[in-house]
Amino acid sequence: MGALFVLLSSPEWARLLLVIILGIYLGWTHRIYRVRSVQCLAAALLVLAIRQPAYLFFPPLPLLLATESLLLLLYTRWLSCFNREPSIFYAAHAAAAASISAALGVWLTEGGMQLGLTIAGIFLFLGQGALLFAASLYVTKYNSEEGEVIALHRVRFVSYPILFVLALIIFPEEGIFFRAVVLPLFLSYHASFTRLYHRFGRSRQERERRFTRRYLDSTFDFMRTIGTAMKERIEVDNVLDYVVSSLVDSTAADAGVIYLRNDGERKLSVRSERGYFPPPYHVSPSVRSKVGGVDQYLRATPITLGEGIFGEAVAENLEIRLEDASEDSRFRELMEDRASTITSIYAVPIQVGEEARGLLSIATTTPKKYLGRQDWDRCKVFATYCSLMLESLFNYLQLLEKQEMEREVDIAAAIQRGLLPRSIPELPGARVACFTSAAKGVSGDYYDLEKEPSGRLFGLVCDVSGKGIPASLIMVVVRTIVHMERRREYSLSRLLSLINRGIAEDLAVDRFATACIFAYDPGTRSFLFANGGHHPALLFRAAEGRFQELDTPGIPVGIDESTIYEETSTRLEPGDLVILYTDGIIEAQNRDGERFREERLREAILVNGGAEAERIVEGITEAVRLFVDGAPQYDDQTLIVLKVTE
Amino acid sequence: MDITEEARGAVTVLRLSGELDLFNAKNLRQKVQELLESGWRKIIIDFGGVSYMDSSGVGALLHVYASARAENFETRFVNFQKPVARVIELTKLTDYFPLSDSVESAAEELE
Repeated sequence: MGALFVLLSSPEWARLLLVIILGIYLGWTHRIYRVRSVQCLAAALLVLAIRQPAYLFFPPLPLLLATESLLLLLYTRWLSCFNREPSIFYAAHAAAAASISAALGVWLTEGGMQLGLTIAGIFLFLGQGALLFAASLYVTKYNSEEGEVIALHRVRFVSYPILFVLALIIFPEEGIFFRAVVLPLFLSYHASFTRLYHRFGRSRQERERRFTRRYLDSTFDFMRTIGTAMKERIEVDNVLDYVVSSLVDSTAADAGVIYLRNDGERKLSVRSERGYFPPPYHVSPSVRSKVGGVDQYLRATPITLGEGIFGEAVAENLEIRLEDASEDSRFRELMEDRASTITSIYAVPIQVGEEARGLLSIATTTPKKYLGRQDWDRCKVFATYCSLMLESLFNYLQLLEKQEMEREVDIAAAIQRGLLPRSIPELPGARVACFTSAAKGVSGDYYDLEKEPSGRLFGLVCDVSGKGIPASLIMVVVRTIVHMERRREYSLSRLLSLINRGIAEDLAVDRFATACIFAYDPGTRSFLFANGGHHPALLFRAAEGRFQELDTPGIPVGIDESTIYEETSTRLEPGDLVILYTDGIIEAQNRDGERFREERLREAILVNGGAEAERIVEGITEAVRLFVDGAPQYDDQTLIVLKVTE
Repeated sequence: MDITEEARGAVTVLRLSGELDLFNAKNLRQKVQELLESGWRKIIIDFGGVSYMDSSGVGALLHVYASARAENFETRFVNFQKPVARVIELTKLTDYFPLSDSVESAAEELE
């Protein structure tokens, strides 16, 4: 009670009031902002508030020195929120710690020691002021809009410690003038500083709210545009145009550009541009001298992945954030060359899935017009949108393509089912077996086996380039020609020539097929063979236990109408094998990318050669299956084995 | 498979490396198509770096050669390595394709 009376009857009550006011103000500002840069200033207010009651217990000089040091440290920390220069940041902490220790010493010591520590403390305090000023120099005005205010009030940082020290020297700290005039003046200095920031903070809050609203609007617009693009199957480029123009319009940028590369390519090309984007590479003077020359050059010149500033950025997924492009030696070089007039440049890679597919960049070309933090945020967000949009669009297009392909696969597979022989012919003194497996539902392989009225076995194996309906049509052509021509007298080579002409006449240039035809007469055991660019017939001579290849000249069918085909014949003996196969067998790949190869095929034949034709086919397909060990099948496999039994 | 291009006067040399198969045969066709669209009329394809080629690769070569005849441009294939040469031999296309011994001799032929 007594203490409270003493407190109220002395001028200290005014200080108490001040503490209360500061406390309320502090609570209020704290509720509004929970940002780190504001927290530093709130802490400064807290220090000022605590200092008032502390006057009751501590002598004023050390207390003033310690608290003012702490305040300067807080201001330095505040500046470090905008641009952290570590050496200054740490020096400021050290100087503050030393200055506060000196103040403690002033309080605890007496005489010459006290005087020495006072002088040391004052110099340390001045040093802190200098560090604060230095920290403010690192806050360049394009870091943020706070940066502009800081730059404007930079002189205050250095002038305040000097004025404070001067006041300390001129006015004895115990005097009434110091207490009544100087101290409140300094207090108002801190207050005005905080208020300045506070007012700035409020306007920033307002701006951010406006920005968010506009941002939401544009997000909505953006999504709607993408939605429309998906629905109406608008070109990707239209959407990209929209992205670039929205971005340039909503930032300080003068120009923007989107580079993209196609699947599997290493060249990035301009897909959309707004304004005149300054090329980030050297442009020859002759191009620069033409009207619109640079812009045309930019659009026509692709960037190779990994080369140049943008090429590297995409290849290594690096962002480019240069408020002042001249800080980067690569851009400085361009500017010295007068090739480019880039003031600020931002570039963000666009990723689709895990893959860098392009880059979104904005730049200012007007001197002293800098891009800022909000521009950077927008640039990042738009790049993310771009990635998402492209990803969905690609997925969607892929889906469409897949659906169309699946439909085609169904039709083609139905055609093919109708083409293949329904049963395996049975022969006296020989057995034939076959196997076929389509890689993806529909095959490019086609075979035919038929017993002719004369008792002869006719066979055909053909591997059509490509798949789907066009490949099936080739099979239809082949089958039609074969069945029509075989009604009259024919030779294998003539049949092959007719097939060749039939395909070469009607179909596109790159449609072709490797095909081979054989005929086996069980009565005479003569085997006739004609080849059009297919694998030779593989013969296994049981008596000698060796392999032999049977082949004739002639390129694949469907390429050149004038090709002349030939035929050859051989006599088979009991136990002999004839093996015909397509690429898919010997080129079956395992997970290591290794291929089955003809050597393994021969091994499998040797192992199973004594068995029946069906068993040999099973043995070979089993060997292939074990070899690939679950790796996906890429190519169609067809295998025919003829075994002479007697 | 990688494709690099190099201009030698009026001739473009496409250097292929890696495997030319089902998965990338269309890249070669596209590349040639692009060159034609940008006005090139003399194209040498260097297979020195191609370690493997399948029937789709043969298809791509046929396509290039067939378009050369249809669209009136000149082309030469050079430097077939063993595995590729074997595929070409197997399909008996050795005499059909416009082969040259080296890029230099092909360039001379085209000049």
